[in-house]
Amino acid sequence: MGLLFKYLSVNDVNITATGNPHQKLSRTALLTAFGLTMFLFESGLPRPLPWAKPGLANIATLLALYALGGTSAWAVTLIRVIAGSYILGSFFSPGFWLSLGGGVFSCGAMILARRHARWFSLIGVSLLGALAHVLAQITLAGILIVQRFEILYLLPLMLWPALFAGFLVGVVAFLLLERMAVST
Amino acid sequence: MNHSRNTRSSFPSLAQRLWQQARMGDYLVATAFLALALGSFWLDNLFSQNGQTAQTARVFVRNRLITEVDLQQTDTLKIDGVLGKVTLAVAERGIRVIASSCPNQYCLKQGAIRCPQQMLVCVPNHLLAVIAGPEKTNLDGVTF
Repeated sequence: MGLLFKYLSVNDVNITATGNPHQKLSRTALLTAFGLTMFLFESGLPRPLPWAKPGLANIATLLALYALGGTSAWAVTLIRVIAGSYILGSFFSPGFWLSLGGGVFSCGAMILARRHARWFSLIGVSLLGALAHVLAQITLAGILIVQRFEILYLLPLMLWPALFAGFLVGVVAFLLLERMAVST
Repeated sequence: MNHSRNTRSSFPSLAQRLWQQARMGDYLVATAFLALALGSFWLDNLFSQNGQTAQTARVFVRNRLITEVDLQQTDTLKIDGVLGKVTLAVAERGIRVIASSCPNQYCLKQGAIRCPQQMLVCVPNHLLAVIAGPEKTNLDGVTF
């Protein structure tokens, strides 16, 4: 975390990489590593509800989205999902497809919402990402694995943790971006 | 929140800073999220009522259908088996054997069954009870 702050605020007040492609690449790589670390960290946490995770890795996606743009957000999300599942040994397992689907849909939704900054602030974007993640995962789980409508029993049990987690992740990303002097 | 203006720090609190940023779409997303989270409880009730109304158990003796019972009700059935009486109890959307004339009483130890295609068997009495309905999945379970 300290490294992240130090590195992201070395040259300019605003970490938004403008002009220099290497700067953007290296900052995307740093945020990817941060997201991957968060992903691996939270995969080791005990889970009272096995389908619910705090989604700390989404902090990295939000930082990339606000500081560096949509392309970086895609990179951070996709590389985190693929490399994370590879490291955990769940590559191409059913869980991997759920993870990928959730990541793609939530990242896509957040990028779309970010384009309409008049309508959505950071918290709204984060909540939308959490909502899209839940809906994509439950749909994919229903289609690929369970193939029963009874999967919808899980919907409230997935939505309630996601509501709180999405809000908290938004607040954390807000505080970090504030420290990095990125306008949200 | 109001008294923060009079304290020595004039910097707005986190809640205030977040509040300043709030846009129309945020409220829409939050409302939709809450509505969906609350509405899904209602949806679940709907499903649990629809999904299990048609569930019945068929009781066979010597491969002949003796009776078909609705699992929604609470009932006790006395069936004439090959050796003697077998008593089945229907309760809590399931069915179980509560007394049997067979020597080993294995059919009692099977407990209650609730899902389609599950069965109770009493071999000495040539009795079979199966819950009707298609088995929708060919997977026992998925773990990952």
